Amino acid sequence: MSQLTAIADALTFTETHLKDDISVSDMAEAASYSLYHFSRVFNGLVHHTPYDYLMRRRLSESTRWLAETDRKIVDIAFEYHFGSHETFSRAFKRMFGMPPSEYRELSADAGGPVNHPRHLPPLTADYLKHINQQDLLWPDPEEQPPIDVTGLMSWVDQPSAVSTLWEALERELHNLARGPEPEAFYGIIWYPRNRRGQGYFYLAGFLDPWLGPLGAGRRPFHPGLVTKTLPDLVCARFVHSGTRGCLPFTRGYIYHTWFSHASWGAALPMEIERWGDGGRPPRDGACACDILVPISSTEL
Amino acid sequence: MQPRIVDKERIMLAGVSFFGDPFAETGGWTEENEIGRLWKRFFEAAAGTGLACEDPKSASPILEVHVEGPEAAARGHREVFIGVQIDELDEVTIEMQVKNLPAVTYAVFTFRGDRITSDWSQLVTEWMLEEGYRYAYPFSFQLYDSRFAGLDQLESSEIDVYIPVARRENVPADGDS
Repeated sequence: MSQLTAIADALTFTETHLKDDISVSDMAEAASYSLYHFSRVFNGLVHHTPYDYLMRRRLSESTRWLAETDRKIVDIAFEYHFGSHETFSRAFKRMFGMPPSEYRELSADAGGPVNHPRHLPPLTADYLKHINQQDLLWPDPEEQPPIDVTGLMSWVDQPSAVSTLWEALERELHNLARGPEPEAFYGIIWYPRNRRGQGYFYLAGFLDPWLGPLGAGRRPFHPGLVTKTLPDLVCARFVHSGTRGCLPFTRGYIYHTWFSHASWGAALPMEIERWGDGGRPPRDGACACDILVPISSTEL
Repeated sequence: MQPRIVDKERIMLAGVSFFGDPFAETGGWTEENEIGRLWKRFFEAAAGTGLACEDPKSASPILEVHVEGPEAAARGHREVFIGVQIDELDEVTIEMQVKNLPAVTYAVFTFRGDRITSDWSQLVTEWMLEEGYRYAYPFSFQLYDSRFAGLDQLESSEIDVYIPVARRENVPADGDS
């Protein structure tokens, strides 16, 4: 049995026993590993210690109960084996930056569970395979100079909407035959302040000095395009390679795992996909791009 | 109904946009389709910026722009952009995008009461045919200002619909500049 399969077994076991009084030893047993070997391998593949993973999964699951029920917080704490209201609240605040009562209020205001970026979903073998086969685990810091990205923007709550935008942009570019080729393509994701549900704004765009607000008028007028101006940013650059369908894995790793250990915080609720060197955004199949996440020394 | 004919300089807007079929789930004038949701997102993005607020009495006019190119239209898609006019790029917050509308002549139709939610596109098309106009660009916008009291108070509301027009023999071939 491969290490990945063994750890996936432990993840499945953990998932079905979140409300049971289990320990790291039980997780190791599910993987058929010794405790020492299990901890080492788990940490190497999941990038959380087994105990940290168990706690984060329990806390992530508790958000659903906080948002969707009016059960007492202390009851939810006991259900997930936190021992006391205080222990649960302290752990919750460490993970989500707010006490459970505040999360409950935010969700009530939003009319449903707030999709917090540190929320850790159940991890799968496919996820582990994806994040461990490439260089995305350790990003490089990078200064991103101000840019104007022009393209089509929409609210996206399902992956197919992103493909629709890129396909539509491709057709629009075809119609803009005059002038230089775009210098690079960018997908800009912007999360709303109220993160209810899974949606976000997505701009499928390109760098074009002829089309930014400052260059308006040099291109034939095109009413269908919008321009987003990004300021000077310091970003963590993650290299994504895989299919477009794997992008949620990469994003997930960045937010629920890398940020939870990094000394940086998210500077803005956004990220930038960059296809450089004339690369075109993918229609489907393989895609390789940089994912730039604005960072600062303090959490947003 | 006779519209006013007005010339406008280039308009720079800051706002948010939607691309796709806004009526995929719910048709018509309702706050529960993508356009209704886009208004909510616009106000969220504008909150605290001073650019716009939900009180129509004290707000700057808000434009709802519909862009419908022939290719997108063939798929039932259009772009809807909701924004406010700005003079300087400095006014754009990072949550918002910029859209430029060209300097062009507009036919401005004013609709009141139930007329606002009726299908006035037919009326606009008939007027253009009768008067020898056509769309100068494939977009239009609705202007909401202090005269609009809300969807629940249509009887005391009024909006302007701006249609970029050109005489049929005089269509701009290549942009506004």
